[in-house]
Amino acid sequence: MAACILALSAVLAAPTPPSERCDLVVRGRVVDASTGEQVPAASVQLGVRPATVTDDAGGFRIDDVCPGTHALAVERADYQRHDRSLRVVTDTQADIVIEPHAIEQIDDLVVEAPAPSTSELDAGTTLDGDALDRTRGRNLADSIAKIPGVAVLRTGAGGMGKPIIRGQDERRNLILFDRVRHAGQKWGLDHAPEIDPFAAGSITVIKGTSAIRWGPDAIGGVVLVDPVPLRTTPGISGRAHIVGVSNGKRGAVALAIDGAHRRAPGLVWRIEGNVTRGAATITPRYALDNTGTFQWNAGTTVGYLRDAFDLTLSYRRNTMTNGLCTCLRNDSPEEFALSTMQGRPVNADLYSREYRIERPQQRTAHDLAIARSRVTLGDAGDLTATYSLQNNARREYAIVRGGVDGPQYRFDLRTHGADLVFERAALPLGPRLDMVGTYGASIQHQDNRFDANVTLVPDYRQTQGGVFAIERLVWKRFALEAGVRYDGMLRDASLTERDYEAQTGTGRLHAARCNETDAGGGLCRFDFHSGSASLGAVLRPIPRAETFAIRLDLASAGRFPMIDEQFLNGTAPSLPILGVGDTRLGVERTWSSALGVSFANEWIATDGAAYASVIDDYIYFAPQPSDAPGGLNDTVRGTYPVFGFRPTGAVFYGGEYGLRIAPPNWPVEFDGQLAMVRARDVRTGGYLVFIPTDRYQVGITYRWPELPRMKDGFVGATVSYVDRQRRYDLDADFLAPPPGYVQLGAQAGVAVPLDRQTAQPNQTARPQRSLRFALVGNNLTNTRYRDYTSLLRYFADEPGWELLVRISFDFEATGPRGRTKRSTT
Amino acid sequence: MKIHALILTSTIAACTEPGADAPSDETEIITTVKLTFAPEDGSAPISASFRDPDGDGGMSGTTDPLALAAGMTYAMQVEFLDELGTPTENITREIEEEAEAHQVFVLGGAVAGPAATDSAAAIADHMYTDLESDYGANTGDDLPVGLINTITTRAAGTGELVIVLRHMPELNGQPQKVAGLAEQLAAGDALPGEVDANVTFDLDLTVQ
Repeated sequence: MAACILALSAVLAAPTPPSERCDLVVRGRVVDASTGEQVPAASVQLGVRPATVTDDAGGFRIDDVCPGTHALAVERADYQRHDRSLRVVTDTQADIVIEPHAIEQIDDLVVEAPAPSTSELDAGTTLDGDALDRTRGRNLADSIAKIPGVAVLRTGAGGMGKPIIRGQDERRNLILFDRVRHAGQKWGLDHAPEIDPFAAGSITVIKGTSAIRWGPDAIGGVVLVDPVPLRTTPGISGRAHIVGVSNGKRGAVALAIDGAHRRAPGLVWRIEGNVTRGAATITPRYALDNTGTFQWNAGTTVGYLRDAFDLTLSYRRNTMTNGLCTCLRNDSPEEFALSTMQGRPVNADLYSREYRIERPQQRTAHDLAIARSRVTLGDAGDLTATYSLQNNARREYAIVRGGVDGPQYRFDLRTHGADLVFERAALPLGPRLDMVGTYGASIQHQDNRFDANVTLVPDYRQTQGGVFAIERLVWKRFALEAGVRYDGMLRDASLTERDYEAQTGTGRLHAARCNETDAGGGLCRFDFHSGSASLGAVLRPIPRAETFAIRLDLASAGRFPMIDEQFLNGTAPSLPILGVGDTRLGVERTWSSALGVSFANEWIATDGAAYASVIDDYIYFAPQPSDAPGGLNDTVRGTYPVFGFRPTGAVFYGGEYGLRIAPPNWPVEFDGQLAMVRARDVRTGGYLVFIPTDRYQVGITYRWPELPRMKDGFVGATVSYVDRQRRYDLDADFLAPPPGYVQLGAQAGVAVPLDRQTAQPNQTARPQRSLRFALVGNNLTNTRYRDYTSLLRYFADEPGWELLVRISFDFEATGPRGRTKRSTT
Repeated sequence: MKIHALILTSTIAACTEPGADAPSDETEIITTVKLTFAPEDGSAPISASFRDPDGDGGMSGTTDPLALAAGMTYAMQVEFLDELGTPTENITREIEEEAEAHQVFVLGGAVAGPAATDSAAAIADHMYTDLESDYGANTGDDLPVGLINTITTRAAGTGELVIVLRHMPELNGQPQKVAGLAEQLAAGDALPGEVDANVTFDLDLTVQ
């Protein structure tokens, strides 16, 4: 008994062993699961201690931690709460990935539920996670078409389209893939962007001028197509999709696999590819003959990712063969007027729905190789250097005579790009005041060759460079951002003899900048310079309602004329006009302003914006006055009106609004959105052409209760109304706009997790797999309609009803975190 | 990593454009439409051409004036040429080889014929004098082609003579060039195929 008491007191009196001292530090970073970006202002709570908040780089630090296992909870209003156990033995680094919350729940309505922090001021709407998966199988423009303010310019080639953002077509907006400017023959109305939407992990649309960060031609907006972030933990994961579309009997199969190995820490690879094949689509009355499509994409990425340094190399190839509708044909002006009045293509009853793609067709191959490195310069910030090489090869095949085999038009564009961006870490200027900056420089060199038996655009070489600086002042509820940018471009165009003679003969070449070459052709050299500036502010005036935000953006940007705006000389495909450029065109200056208000709570999410832009020297493709010399041109197909690029003053204004009502604990949601754009030519008072019409949409969604084997189940319907374009100019167009139309759509989906989740720390996680099904119906009433922003509207109707079925399979097999010896006792 | 770099560089090096093709694969352009009128009395033929020297480029094409005798019958031959390169390519050969997919229509205010209804302004009559079987084996209907025609002029006057060449290849195995197309054109209907040429001559008939 006495020995027992002695032993007990000895134990009680023993000094605390060193490992029991509570002076450990837990630090880490909170990262967004889909974009890989840091998540500032997230609350991190360890055990029952008061929570700490992540800084602007998403980092946190918790001191005086006792060793042992603690519960770690990370949350922020627009993210799903993340709980895990953390075993702390020594100073620990814990990087946490959290899933965004608000946007995932939305089907067709994409409403930005803003983050409380304001370190990123761009008014971007991001499609990722489930919202992006619901667009798989569609081309890029259609994937983002549900965002209010975005419309599609349809080309009549295999259903392809280009995005129109706030009324500005691809001339005035940018598409970036993996943060590299997509370089293709953008100027052609029927040239769709050669981008693979299956490769996207998220698609962000920034509406309005983003000229400072991305380039002076991003006046209408920017589409950022970002791949899925690379893995940071050992294991293998992948995504597979199978898509089938009834209209056009189209099928697509896509697969992507990411891997990282425990034995090679930091090294990660990805392989992906997809194939799509579709036959001609059909309208309610006839097929759109020869609109089949065949595309395949393949890509690979290798990365070496560490905390302070990473290097990624990637390469991808996108190839497309698109048939052009037989209904698009070359006509004389009189015949064109006759056939447009008929309202139905001639010989439409001979049109077929087959897979075979005949002439006319387009074939493109786009290669993109990127080498990128990021270095963390201590506490100063991150420096990222990127080199990219793109090769865009486009071949267009027309209907020909006499056993001709090859293409009639060849375009080859090679683009080298290099940029350097320094993101300076937040500089605390006061108790709640931070200053964050981004600075960068970029340079791009392009070499374009055009080969055909006709003139259209000359060969050219151009080098373009820019430098920019953006500073943000971030207070608790107010943020201010200012940016400046300077760009310069040097372009050397080389005209063939025939082109040079025709252009000098009609007095369109700038005498001082163009010289005749020995071969009889012409060489023209142009240089342009422009400065851009922007000012933005975000205000969250109500302390208790952090999700109520008001934003104001003001910007001025100067866009350089494109090659066709300067040198176009030829007939446009399918439309009976002769297009000419103007080498006297200068920089186009835009003054834009935008005001946005957004709010979200448990019941409602709403987002509205209004904008107005004044564009001086707006480069507009409009008919020359027909009584002036050069207003009409006698071609072998008849007397064509001449359309030229001329500078004018333009005003664009409009707005978008989106609303989602989802009462908590109710399975039903309602959503609605509308978008309008107006554009006028200030000098003539007339309306600009191809401006999207007003669109309205309402929808209702019912969510099934969650079951262990059935998650995210929903059924929904949407009704949209696209108005007739009431503001048009028949002189600059050939046909009055088509009538408005109503469309009915429906969607349903469900996710089936194939494994139960494990929650034990330090245990080998079992592979996570899930299967997701979706069924989407479009134009379910099989309405006959034509769209004002479609090139097809002069010739034929748009496609009728369609059903899209999609099966997606995700899997994830994480390797063991560390080997634990099995104990034998 | 090494293998990966190897695959990367070899793929880029092996990149070729879609469809390897030889440079001489472009289509011919019709730059010239030449009409030759041979009077039936054997006197010297009269020619008039439309020329667009830069193809479909910025410079306008020009049309020669066409002066014929009133009250005469001519055999009109239509030729299509590509004068952009040297030597001049005679596209009429290609049209003859594909006679079943081409037809020339003669219309305009000055003309009365299959493609142009008679009116008070008509000063010449048009008639087709060739058939598809003249140029090669023929399947289906033996339809006129319009490379050789008869123009019978009436009284003196002026007016427009329009020559339209349509290329109407088979569509999904079905012929698009069918009987009665000229009549449909006269009636104001849209025709199938594409327009390859549509040139207008100012016809001036004088008594000689």
